[in-house]
Amino acid sequence: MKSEVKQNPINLEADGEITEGTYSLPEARFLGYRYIPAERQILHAFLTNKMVLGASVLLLLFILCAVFAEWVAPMDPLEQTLRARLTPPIWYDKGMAPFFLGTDSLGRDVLSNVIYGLRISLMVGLLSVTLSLLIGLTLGLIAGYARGVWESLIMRAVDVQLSLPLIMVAMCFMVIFGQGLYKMIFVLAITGWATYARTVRSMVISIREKEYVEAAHALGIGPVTIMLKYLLLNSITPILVLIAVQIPHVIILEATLSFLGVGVPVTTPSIGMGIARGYQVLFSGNWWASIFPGLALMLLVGCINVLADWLRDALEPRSREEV
Amino acid sequence: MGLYFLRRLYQALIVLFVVTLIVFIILHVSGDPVELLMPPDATSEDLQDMRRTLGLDKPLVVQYGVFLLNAVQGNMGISYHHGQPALKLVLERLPASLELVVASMLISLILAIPLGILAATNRGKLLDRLCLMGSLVGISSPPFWIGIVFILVFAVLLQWLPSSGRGSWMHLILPATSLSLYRLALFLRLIRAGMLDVMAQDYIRTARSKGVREKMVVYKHALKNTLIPFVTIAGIHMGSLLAGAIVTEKIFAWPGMGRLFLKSIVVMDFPVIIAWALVVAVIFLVINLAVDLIYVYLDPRIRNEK
Repeated sequence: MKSEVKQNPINLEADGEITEGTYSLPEARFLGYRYIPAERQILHAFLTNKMVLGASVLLLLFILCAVFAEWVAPMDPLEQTLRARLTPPIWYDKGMAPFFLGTDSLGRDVLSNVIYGLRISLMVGLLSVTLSLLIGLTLGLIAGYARGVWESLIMRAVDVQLSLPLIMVAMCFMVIFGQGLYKMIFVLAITGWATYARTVRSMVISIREKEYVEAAHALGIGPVTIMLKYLLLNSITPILVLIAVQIPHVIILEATLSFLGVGVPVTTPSIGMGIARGYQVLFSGNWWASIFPGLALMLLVGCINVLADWLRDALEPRSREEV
Repeated sequence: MGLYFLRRLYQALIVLFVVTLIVFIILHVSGDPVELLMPPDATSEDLQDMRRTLGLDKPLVVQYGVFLLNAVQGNMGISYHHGQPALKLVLERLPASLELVVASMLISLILAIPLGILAATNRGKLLDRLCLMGSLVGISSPPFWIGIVFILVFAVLLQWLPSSGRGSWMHLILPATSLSLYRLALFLRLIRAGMLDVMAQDYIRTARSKGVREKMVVYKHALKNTLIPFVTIAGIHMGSLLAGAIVTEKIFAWPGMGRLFLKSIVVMDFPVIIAWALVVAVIFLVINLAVDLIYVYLDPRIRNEK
């Protein structure tokens, strides 16, 4: 038991104060404890966790591939090589040189489609989460801080939003607006804000009664400053965790919508559409066109999930203390 | 208790009202179904006639009023495409969808709860790490892709199970399992985290120190308290699965209402789309309401408040 405490000396210092019952800092040093600041502990945990490190390296690789798709991809993802239709991956006897992972039914390179598709997935994930975060943050702050009519209006809107299945709302919107990359980002943003608003509001409500907020009020600090400086900054941890959890959700939702044919247009190479095209030729045994895009998506989402889990453990002290 | 229920019911009705309004407005500004319905050589008089018979020439507010009045009586219009009452079409396909959702939910729960408990009680050991690894794969794979992998392995390569349609229980296995994996992984994590959280509480230490056997501590004291908040989450997932089953129904050609919805979206069959949305929303709200009540009943702190 004691050795565990030694390895995890964060309990010694909570907010720079030594609580009653624990050792004072000199005493702790004398007893062989070493004080390590929280940031360094997090960094240390990051560097020693092989899984997290591996996931970050892989994610970085994915991001680089996505950013430099033009140089990384061996082919133009939309170029149809009709004489090379349904070429199997390169390790098969019938495999051909530039098509490492085979081609689809129109002779388009699967690998290039995956690389360009990752760019779309990441872009949709990041942009729409940022947008819905902005909407959710603003409305959540207003609801938690202003209370009264605004709060009930916003929270009813949250109720409505959450009482509709997300995929249905997104599909209806996509049908109305028509397919399109930016339309999709926009639709995913306006269907995803409710979770953020709810989290921010409950954080704000629990913080707003604290003494330092009252003190700020008493000092005559304006509501906007209080919201941004005191309420927002202090609820940043759960928001960060929520973002990390939401990005994979949105990426999968994008792939689902594109798979169903109501996502990005046909001319945009995306993972979901690639899987849909591969699905059409699946029953004749041409497995590569649907399996590889899905595998890439799974790895991408898996990496983000590993990092999200780690981030939650590192940032939320309650689960860190458990370890 | 009664007052609480009434308040929740009132909230649910407001939500439902807003949902109908939004769905109605959105769908009616989205396009003209008449041109899709009529043959391409139809004259503009024909189109006008068709609009009149469908009631599409009246102002939106009137259309909505008529729609709402009818909806309350269970009449959501006639499908433009099938020529049958929209609600009937949706409800006909509801049992198939429910079968899929309930089966997949059962698979998730039956596997997730014991595995979650085992992972929590064997924390850090091989079993726990396997469970965590497996659940990571589960929450990271898109359900529709899992369905495709299942078809490839079990239907195309091994030819053990049918890949499409509904009939015997054999048809149910692939769609239900592929739909259940994501929730299985998610529930496993939730149960594990919940158990670990509860096991660190003082009352567990008390139970142990007064000599309660470890099995009793785990299954009676810890599990019970883990499951109470879990009921809410499982209920919400049950509701959203109805909508989430769309992709699975498409891949496995499962004749449920999700597939009907997909087809209706292509031909802009408004009444069916609205009927589907309302049926899903009502079921979702009813489940949430029921879950709230169960939660109140299960937690004595809330139950005995008044």
